[in-house]
Amino acid sequence: MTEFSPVSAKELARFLRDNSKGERAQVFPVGGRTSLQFLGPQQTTAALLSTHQIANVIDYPARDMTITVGAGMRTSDLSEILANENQELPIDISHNQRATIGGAISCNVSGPRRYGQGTFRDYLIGMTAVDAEGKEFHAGGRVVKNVAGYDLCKLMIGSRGSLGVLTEITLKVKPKQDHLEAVWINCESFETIDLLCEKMLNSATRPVAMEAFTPAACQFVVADARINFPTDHPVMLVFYEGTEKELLWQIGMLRSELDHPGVRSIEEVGDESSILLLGTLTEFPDGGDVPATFQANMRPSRVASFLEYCTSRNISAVARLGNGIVIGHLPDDIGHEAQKSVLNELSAHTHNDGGNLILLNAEEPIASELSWWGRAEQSWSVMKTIKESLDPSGLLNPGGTPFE
Amino acid sequence: MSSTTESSAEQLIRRFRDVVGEDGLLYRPEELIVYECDGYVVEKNVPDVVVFPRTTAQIIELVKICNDLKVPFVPRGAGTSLAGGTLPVGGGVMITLTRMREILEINYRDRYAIVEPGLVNVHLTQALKGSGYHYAPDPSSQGACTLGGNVATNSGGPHTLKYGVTVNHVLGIEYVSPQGELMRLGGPQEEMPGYDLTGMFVGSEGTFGICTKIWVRLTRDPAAHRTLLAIFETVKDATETISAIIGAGIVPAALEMMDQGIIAALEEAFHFGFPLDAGAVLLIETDGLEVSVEQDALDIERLCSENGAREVRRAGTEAERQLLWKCRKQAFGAIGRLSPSYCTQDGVVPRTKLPEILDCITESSERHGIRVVNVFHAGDGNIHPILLFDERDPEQIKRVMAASDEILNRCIDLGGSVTGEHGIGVEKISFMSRLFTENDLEIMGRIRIAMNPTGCCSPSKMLPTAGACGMEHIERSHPGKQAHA
Ligand SMILES: Cc1cc2nc3c(=O)[nH]c(=O)nc-3n(C[C@H](O)[C@H](O)[C@H](O)COP(=O)(O)OP(=O)(O)OC[C@H]3O[C@@H](n4cnc5c(N)ncnc54)[C@H](O)[C@@H]3O)c2cc1C
Repeated sequence: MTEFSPVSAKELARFLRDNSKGERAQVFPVGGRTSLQFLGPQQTTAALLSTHQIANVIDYPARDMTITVGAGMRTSDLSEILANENQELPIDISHNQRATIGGAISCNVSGPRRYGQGTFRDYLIGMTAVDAEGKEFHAGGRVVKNVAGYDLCKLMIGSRGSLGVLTEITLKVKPKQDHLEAVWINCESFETIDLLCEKMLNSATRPVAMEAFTPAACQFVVADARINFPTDHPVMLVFYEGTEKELLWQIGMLRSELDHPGVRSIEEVGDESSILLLGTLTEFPDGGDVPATFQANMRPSRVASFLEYCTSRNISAVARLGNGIVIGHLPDDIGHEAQKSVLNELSAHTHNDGGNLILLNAEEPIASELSWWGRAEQSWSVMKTIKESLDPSGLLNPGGTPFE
Repeated sequence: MSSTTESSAEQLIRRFRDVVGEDGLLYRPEELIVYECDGYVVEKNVPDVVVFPRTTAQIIELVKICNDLKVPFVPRGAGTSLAGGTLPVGGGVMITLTRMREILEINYRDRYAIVEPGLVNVHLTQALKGSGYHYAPDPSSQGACTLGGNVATNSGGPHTLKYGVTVNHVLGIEYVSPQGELMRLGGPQEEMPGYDLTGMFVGSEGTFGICTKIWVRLTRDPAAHRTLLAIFETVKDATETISAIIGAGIVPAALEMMDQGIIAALEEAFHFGFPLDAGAVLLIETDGLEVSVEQDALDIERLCSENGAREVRRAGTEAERQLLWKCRKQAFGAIGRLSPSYCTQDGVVPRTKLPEILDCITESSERHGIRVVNVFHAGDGNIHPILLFDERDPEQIKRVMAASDEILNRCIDLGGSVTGEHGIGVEKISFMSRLFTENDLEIMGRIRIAMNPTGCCSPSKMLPTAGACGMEHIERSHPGKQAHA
């Protein structure tokens, strides 16, 4: 596969224009290459189009709390620039030394703090992209509120480069929070976790993330974050952000609110370890050599029982309790057939509630035998129409979308 | 001018009657006059028929009939659009959703509610009262406007500053496509694979079909709040305070500005005790944990004083707070005391550019001899200059349009937009080619065709081209204002 890394949006547009008029190779836009497993079946003539050199700060009026940058900017660089003004984009992005902001948007990356801080839908306010024929187009702008025209920003989030290649993006940013603190809650059972989730619905505190693990994930998490907490029972983790005063008050309040026989212990993780822990959870989807990694989407009320099932199958799984998202790695000590049947059971579990299970990564033969995108949805037909109208020749990231 | 011939109009009414019954239809000229415009009174046109479905199945039938007879149709909620979003350009059918106003489910455990599109925004708030949860988008028109209208226009409101606009609170949408197919996007699960069509549907101004069901996110009530009223001698001091607050990294829940003209009208209407000699006031609400809101309030008070506030008052009781918000949200209602007609503009600038745009508003007002008062979402940089005039005087209308044009063009020059929350509708179509390039509009046009192939659903809205439903020949009485390049 050839590779091209234009140094400007103009050069990128020229490349796509020439390609559409000439060779008509399939083009796979890439940023930091942290999600390449999503590339579909590729032809040998296909080209990788990397945006990593389009990484400049275009406009950063810090007092307006917006920033416009080249889509190829590394997310760690973006964080650093924002931190200089005591601001942040509060989205947890894995591999942030490599991931580009355009890539993260294209894959709609999020992490534990999506519960309290939201996702790219809440932060992307403007963008420039180039379509398969090399035409540049924009949407949104540089103001925090704007309803002029169709909101193509929303369409680009999570579109995996299949509609256009992002070259410039404008984000709304927030003041940086002073501190992060996690609370480790060791519970009797997943039933207890379910109960605590219900209690948290009316908590006087305002967590920024609420996670839970299966025992297999728990062992990985403590080892990776280098912390020492009990892992012998199901664990729920609650994160708070804010001033010291706010954290102190909230943790005290949480202890009194969660006073319940099913709670074995409540322990503060500590400032530095909390940051490490957040990092571990953010990177969790990258399971290394596991046979398959999935993301199950369901209503939050279904998560505890889903985790229980995962536990019975020795799956290492982390749940975003407030969002109804579970990310899991299949164990490698069972055969392929067993792995497939577990995945089918998990899918059925999510489908029963109208949810879905997608594969984030899979080895053969699972990769080619199971559907990566889960059960087909009616809306996929609308997506297909949109794809066909914006990229009629199907040049951009073929195979990278559910409806193909 | 009507797009339906006499006989097809009769056929339309007969077939509609079979679907919704006689009491679900209006077609006599004297009944239709109410529907000739929405909150944007500058341009008017009566539809041929107004129909009030009660069920989604009826909407499917109605849309299929429109398709059969090749008649354009436009969805309408409460008709509070300030951009002519519901104007039936070229006549045709108006599908009014106000009889579909049920709350179908409230699910606290999973933090969502499912509502019908005709539900009035504040009715959801009322239903959630006492639960510790609320639906965050709170347009000033929330006592009248519908959730379907909010979805179509991606409405904001005073608390948008901290909590985001409608799209940040919509999980899923069910809609009847322009061809009459029932479709579902998203739902109570937060993430589903593929494109975020729910996100794109929000703000599509009725051009993608008729929204029949909405899954909305419920938000925790703030644990505590402080509501402040800062009084300034001049508008300039007030706007500079806004920059200072945001620049200091404080994001209040709401930060609204009202100038002298509107203060006088409000005082007459509500007798709150607003100082009539003040140049401007800021209504600032900060919310969060009890342990932190007090410090925020103190910081805000200090910044106000440093920037020339003559006085900063606090709402001492919940009743006082509610009254302050009532004044703000009913400010438009008070304008009737100032003028027979008004046109509310809706521009946005980067927040630090507020002083410049307010200067521009004053200059335009003077140059065109049109009185302008201001009440707006200052923290977001979302201005709402209200131009006062008498719609019986065509000459005044011209001057209102010229002044509006100038203000909106300046918003663009300052790096902003011509609409922060009211939408393009018919009113601002001609600004689209100033805001967007030909390519941008072409891509949007393609999306419109993908979603609305015949263009018969909400024709002649939002985009300067496409979607005219075979009515390209129709001349509009006041075609959207002409932006000067
Ligand atoms: C006094 C006043 C104050 C206002 N304050 C605010 C404010 O603070 N923030 C703000 O954002 N707006 C504000 N507005 C504007 C207006 O209230 C909003 O745009 C509102 O969302 C419109 O809702 P509606 O039900 O009245 O819709 P309508 O005016 O009936 O329709 C608006 C648009 O939505 C479409 N539509 C309506 N229902 C549906 C449906 N079910 N499916 C598909 N499309 C549909 C229509 O075709 C039209 O394009 C204000 C208006 C007034 C008069």
